[in-house]
Amino acid sequence: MANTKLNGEIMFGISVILFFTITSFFGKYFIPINPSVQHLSAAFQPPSWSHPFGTDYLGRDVFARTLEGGSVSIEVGVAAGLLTVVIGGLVGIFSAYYGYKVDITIQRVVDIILSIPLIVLVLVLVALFGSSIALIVFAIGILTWPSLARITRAETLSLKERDFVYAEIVAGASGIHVVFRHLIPNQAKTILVYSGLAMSSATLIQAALSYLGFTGGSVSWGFDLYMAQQYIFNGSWWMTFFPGAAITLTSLGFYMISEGLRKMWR
Amino acid sequence: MHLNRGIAKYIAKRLALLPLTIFSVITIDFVLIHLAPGGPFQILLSDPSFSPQEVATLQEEYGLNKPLLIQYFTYIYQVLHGNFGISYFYGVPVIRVIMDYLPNTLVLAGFSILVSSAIGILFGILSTSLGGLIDRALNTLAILSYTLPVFWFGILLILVFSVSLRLLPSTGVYVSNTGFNLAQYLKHIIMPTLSLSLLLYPPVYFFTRSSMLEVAQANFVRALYGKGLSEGVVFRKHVLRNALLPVITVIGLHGAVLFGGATIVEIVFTWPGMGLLTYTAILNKDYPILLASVFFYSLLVAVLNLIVDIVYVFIDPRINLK
Repeated sequence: MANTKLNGEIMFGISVILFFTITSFFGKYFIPINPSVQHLSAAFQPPSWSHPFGTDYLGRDVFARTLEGGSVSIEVGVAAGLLTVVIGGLVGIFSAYYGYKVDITIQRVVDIILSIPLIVLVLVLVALFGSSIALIVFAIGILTWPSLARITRAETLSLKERDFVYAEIVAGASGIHVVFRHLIPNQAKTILVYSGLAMSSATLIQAALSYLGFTGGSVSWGFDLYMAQQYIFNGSWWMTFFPGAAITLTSLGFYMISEGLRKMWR
Repeated sequence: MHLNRGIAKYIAKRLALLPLTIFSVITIDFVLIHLAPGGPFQILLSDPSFSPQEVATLQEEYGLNKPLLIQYFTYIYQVLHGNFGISYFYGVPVIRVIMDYLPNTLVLAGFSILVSSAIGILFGILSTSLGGLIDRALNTLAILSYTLPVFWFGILLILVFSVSLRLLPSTGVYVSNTGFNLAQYLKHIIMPTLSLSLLLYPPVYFFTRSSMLEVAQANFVRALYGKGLSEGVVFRKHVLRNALLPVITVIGLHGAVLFGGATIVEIVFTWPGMGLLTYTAILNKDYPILLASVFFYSLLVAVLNLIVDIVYVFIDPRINLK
């Protein structure tokens, strides 16, 4: 704990995520414009005082849609990121701690998952089993854990040769005890840093799925981008620019929290 | 001679791993078919264009009324004989549809590997040799590229180059009514290549950057300076050459990312490759195509890894052939 002062990266990341969390989940209580109300006579209007980000093909306000369209992204980003970290962390640690056949089997599974493009597998799962938010979170979680599992596996392999772990085993501690009292706490920082990255990429996968029509919710940045592309040739750039910038900021926010934590603990 | 035999042995060993991957993916495909609620053909019953008789025939054809283990071995047998069934949507053998789409993905992937390596290496050199502000700016740019959704970047390119400047076509491969035309083909591939390269260049950049910094500190480089060689010669002949080796590994490690990114890019630009095929197969519930594309994607990744491994053996004499 050499330096626990929050640095610029963490502050930036937390501010962005907090901002979109508040506007997406509580925006309906304080943002005066309803993001779903259509004014067909006022479609495709460029940014102005009354519509700072312009209006879309149904005359809906892009500003309100950008502020309130993040709920699914943030939900999926956080939930799928956490699921990835829990699965990846535990699998890597158990795989290294128990070794032998468990380890070989798990490494084989890791190789197979990493040999197929992630988005293709997620698409297949979503297509076969439906595109609810729970399923999207599950699909991302069970397919993105291998990278972290490789990291925690390597760290556990070195930790388990250390004296304090030997001492516990000699004293008769159970495997579960060693894992949860020593192996996990000793690499908590690595796991926390990784969780920011996992959330950042989960946000991007969710956005891509929603762009492809698997929205899992009503107002969503990715799907707004898909619709914007259908009308791209009438020159209403604001329909594509703002939702995409919001996705980038959210993903960048999670990334920066991770980057900041890494710097803080280095 | 001795070395060549070593290389041959190494390549043989790598080739031997390929069947294992293929076998695993066939198994995944098989499990997926049977995990789908109600089996793969149940969903067709709700589709008015399929009669219950047709569905029953399909189930018969795919042996879905036989024991699971027999089905499994039948499936392996058929896949190994290149028989992926008949596409529901196109009505022709799946393998023929795949062969129509696969080349476009290979071309897109090849172009993107070239472009992203060039950008990544160039930026890596610029950032290490100029340092300071340039280094920080290029780092920030690379992080931004990581977090930028690739499909949004694609749409922005369309907005600039197709809508505003009217320079490049935004969809497909050809202008309608004309057959294959190389100039048109190349014109259509520019934006998809740029989008995919955005996804691929940051790892190449970061790797080039860190390995250049590492090599510049290495003893053999300091010895070269001590020998009196000029900075330019040391840089070109030694630092650069040694630092570029890992770049090939990076490309190998990111095979799945490359083809995954290609999937999205192909959909954005309606580029008729495997990604577009997979996506339309999902929309059409064309399961034979879907399962075959999962299979071919993993084959592509495995073959790319193999090529990288082999190339690496030839350019890096230090590699351990065992």
